Amino acid sequence: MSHLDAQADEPLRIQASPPSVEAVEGLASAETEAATRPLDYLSAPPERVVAEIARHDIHALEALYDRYGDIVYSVSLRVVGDTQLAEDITQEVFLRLWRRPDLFDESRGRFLTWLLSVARNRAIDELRSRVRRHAHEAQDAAAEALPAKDEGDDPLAQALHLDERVAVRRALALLPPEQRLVIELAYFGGYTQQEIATRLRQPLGTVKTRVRLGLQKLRPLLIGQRDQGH
Amino acid sequence: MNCEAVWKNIEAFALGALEEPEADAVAAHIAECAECAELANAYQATVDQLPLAVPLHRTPARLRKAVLAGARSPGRPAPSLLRDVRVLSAAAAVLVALAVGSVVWAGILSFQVNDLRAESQRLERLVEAGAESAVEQGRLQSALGVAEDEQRRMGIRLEEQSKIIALVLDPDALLSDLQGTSLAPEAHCYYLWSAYQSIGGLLCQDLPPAGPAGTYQMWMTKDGTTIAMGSLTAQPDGSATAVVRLPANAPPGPVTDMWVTRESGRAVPSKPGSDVVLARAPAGQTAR
Repeated sequence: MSHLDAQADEPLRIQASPPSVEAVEGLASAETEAATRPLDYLSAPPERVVAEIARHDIHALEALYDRYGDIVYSVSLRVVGDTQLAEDITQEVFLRLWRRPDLFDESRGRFLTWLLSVARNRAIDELRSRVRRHAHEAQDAAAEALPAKDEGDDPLAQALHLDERVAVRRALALLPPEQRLVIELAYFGGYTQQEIATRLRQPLGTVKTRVRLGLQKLRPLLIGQRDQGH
Repeated sequence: MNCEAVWKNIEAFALGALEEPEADAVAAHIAECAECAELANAYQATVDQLPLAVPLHRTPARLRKAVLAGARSPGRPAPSLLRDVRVLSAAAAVLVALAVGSVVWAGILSFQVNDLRAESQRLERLVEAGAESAVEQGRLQSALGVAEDEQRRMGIRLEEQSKIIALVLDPDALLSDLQGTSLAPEAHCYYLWSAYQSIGGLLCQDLPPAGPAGTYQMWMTKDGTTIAMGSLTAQPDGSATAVVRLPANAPPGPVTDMWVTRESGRAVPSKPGSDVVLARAPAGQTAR
């Protein structure tokens, strides 16, 4: 939604469901109780929490931000290499989620991977439009030298999808460095194979082979991870 | 592209690393081939897990506040570098063009008015010499009146531009996009609304001329009522600006739509014509 609503004279009404009379009086049946019980945002699957966003429950957004804000920011930062820009992208991603929760289609995959791909795509767009060929040089250099880090290097290695994140890192660490590099340049740098070949001064065929082999190795390593946890 | 060619490119396709023509060819094949689509989905699921590998960085507390504040005020973007840069660059392009034109034109007008005044005063002294001089003085005074009117219009235009600049610099001003329709496919406008200043500003680019007797008219719908918000004129370079205010008798409630029509006359029409040249960009158009 654009700012048009801001010209409304009515403030935003956050829909909060008052407890039913039955619940207040302790007369609710088990079924009614389950239906009216407040959703525990800390433990609920994110797909359920998104459904509450569609009902304009600000606490649902708050919960998703608390759960995923750091990783959305980290992905954005990994792509653009600029903290201010990464903050802006993170803000955009969550406000877009707030305004258009319907853009998430549960039938097409998990919420977290969808959210992170939105952040990554938005960051790549931003990168392409402004800083790619200039300010990103230093960040690229850092990325090219970046080893697959152990989770122990990460000061914020907390419970958030820890197993999954460790598994992806370990899978990446199993790749030969040159295969990992082309995958990272393509995914986090937004480069095509041709651009990577130019950057690395390698034949295009070599880059294509590295991309193919790298992803072919990653695929079986990550199968099973994608269906785990929220 | 056949299945074999797709298989050679499927990993790079999932990674987004193909050049556009190749990516389009793979996408077209996948849309028709269930087997390749399944393979593409499998690789996409692998690629989608890559962002989980990034080292975590903690977000600053101010970002949480900004996100929640933005959500609590529908449509109100918290101050954003992205928005500022985008609007400022669009506004700068329009305003620089207008400012240069205005300054040059104001300078010419100023000389013209001064010359006409001097000429008129000189003729005033000669008017008693004969009817011929009186006719000439009448012609000059008419020209002076026209030039002074133009000077007043220029003053209003400069004042309008200063208001637009204030809107662009207002960190709380809210932004909407208007996209050109088939009548003006290249046209694009930003609409900024400042609740604090209670004014809106329209900044347009690549707007074609409205025709010799035509004009552009901006409209809004509020609580089901269509409101004429004012007219705007395209400059020769296609830029245009307008400052708009909601009429005092505008109904309460949200603005649900806005658009710009091309009208055949200079007078403000009572209802919008059918030549819609700019319409609101669809919400979520850029969502990915």
